[in-house]
Amino acid sequence: MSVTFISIGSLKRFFNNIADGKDRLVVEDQEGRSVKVVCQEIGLPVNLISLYIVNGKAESKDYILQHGDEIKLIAAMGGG
Amino acid sequence: MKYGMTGKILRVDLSNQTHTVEEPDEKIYRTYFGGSCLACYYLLKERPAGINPLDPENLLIFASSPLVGSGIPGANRFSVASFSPLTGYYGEAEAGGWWSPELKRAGYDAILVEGKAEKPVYLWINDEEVQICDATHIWGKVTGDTQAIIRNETGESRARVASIGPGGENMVRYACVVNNLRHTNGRSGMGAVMGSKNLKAIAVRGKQKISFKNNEALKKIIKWYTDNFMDHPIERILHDGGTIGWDVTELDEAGILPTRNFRSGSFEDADKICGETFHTEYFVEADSCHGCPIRCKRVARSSGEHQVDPTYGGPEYETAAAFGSLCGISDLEAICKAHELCNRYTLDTISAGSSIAFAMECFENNLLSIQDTDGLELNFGNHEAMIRLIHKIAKREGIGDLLAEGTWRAAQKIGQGSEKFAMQVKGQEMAMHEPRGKGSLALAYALSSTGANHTEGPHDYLFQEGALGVSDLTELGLLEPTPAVYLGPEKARQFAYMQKTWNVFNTLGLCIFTAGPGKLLKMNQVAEAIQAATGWDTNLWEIMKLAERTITIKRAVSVRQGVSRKDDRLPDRFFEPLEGGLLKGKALDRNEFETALDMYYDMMGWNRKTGVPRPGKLVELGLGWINPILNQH
Repeated sequence: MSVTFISIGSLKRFFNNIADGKDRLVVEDQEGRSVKVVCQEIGLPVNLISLYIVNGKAESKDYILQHGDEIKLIAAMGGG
Repeated sequence: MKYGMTGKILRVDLSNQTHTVEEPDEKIYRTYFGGSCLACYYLLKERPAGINPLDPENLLIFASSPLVGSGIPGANRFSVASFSPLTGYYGEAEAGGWWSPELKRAGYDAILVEGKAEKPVYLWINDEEVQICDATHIWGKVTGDTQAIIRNETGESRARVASIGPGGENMVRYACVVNNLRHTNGRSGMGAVMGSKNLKAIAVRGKQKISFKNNEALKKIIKWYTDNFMDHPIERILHDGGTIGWDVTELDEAGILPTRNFRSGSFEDADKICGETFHTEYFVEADSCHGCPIRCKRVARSSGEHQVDPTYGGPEYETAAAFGSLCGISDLEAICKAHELCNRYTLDTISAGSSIAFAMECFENNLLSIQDTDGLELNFGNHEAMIRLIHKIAKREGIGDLLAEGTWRAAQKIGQGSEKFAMQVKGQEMAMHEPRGKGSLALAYALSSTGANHTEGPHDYLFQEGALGVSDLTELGLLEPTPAVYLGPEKARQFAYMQKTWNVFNTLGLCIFTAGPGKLLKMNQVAEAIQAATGWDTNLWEIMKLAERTITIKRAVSVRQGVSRKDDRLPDRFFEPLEGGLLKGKALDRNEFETALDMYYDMMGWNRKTGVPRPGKLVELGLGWINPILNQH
């Protein structure tokens, strides 16, 4: 029973600290909890996350994780 | 005594080869401050309606500000402003680097350039002394050679040189101005205006001290910033990866990476042109502007097929996307080369990339033949053709002459319905951000007085529920976040507030990457910095009024040149579904868009039908003198 977080772009540097430099972080026993809460607990800066993409679909921060979910996190995107 | 400003404005008449120095009342500085707002004051006061931007009677302004040189991180910028040859309306472009503080140390807050030199010249300003020097021997040379020759002739190896290359000389309508080879006043075709005046460059060197009222207060803000910027997530991202690291792959995943001329929001080779690939393959070092610890500038080098010269810096995100996903190109070395060529020739990378993407779509739809393109197979993804086109555009050779006119004029000439492929507003090409995924950006593109402009205000994703920028809005009285993909009345309100923050930065000479909502330095601290620099008893109220004055006076310049509500539009493509990516199928809703415009006009005190600032609003902003100019009473 696990979910997988996949790092992308500017959030990769935060993954470096918690996933030993890997692009994927497998987290066990998180089913039934919201994606935002889990991100917070594993040490990701949730105020920088503007999009939670779960299995290729944009979901809200309150999305309840299910076994096998693949989650991509997108940082707040600016301009300039 | 005036603090922050030199109190002197240099006026140069190129037709008569003369110059004078003016000392405006301090009230002029406090009302218009510097940068783009000060420039608009002169454009409206001194020039009539209907100016042809490439005629000698056009006025070209280089304007710094009283905050520049104070050491406040990001306070190092200047505006180049004029009537734009790309739009015919108000044109401006900002750049950082060292040129702006150097101008002030040389004794001037701004330069007004009038007339046209009989033969090519450059200005040499050295500690208040002004010389108009022959540039016949430099005409035709790229920026690198130009800077080297001028530094050699003046004997000043540290002269800061803002110049044009062949793109500006040939009056490519989106030619830019480049200083120190790496910092660019990119948009609106200001380099073409220099070219029309036979003005090759302005070189400045100054050793004078700029006096600020409260140096201790300034130092305190600077120290606080320096101590804290690495802990601010956005500033840290910019420090670690620059704009190119902020990031193509994220925009791609979010479905808002402009791809193949805005047909799609996702590019299958995004990972090949992203920040990580850049830093692995081509990154040499980070570079900076005066007094800024962020060091967001990137320098690229390659000894491969394209031989990328690090002298010219490296591509920003805008450049990577404009020559990359927008053109369907996945060769990052070619993109780095495109950046280098644009800085050599002085071409705006956004409009150049967009013009090439436009030509590619015309070619793939048989609106341009192989004969029309001088034998180039202009399919999306052809990076060799893209490089060839940049040379041709700068030199106005063959198909390059057509594309040097920008997409709107090129479409008029091609006809056959090609207008729908011209991704522009008011004649200026869209930047590399997708308005179908950012509601306030749709308003920014449509409403900017300069034509499509992505730096009109901070972008939406920072200000949706739970995002980092939301807490920064409270000092402005905005207490509710709004979703990014949303265009209701609350978004119009958020945009109207956000637009003020970034517009006033163009008047203050301050960088959008160091200050404002979503960045480290808050708006109240900006007001404190201005107070410390000038000694004025000012506050956030006055700064926000200056912001509103800046937006409104820019609008007045464009209105007098013919802009009205009918020009506050977006290309039809944005009201059609995105073809790919996470937001596949998403289109802007026309009724929602028009309603948001109504709301915005109401908030700004502009007439809903005409888009003209109302007489009372102009008076309220201290701009009542503009009413007769706009035939209002």
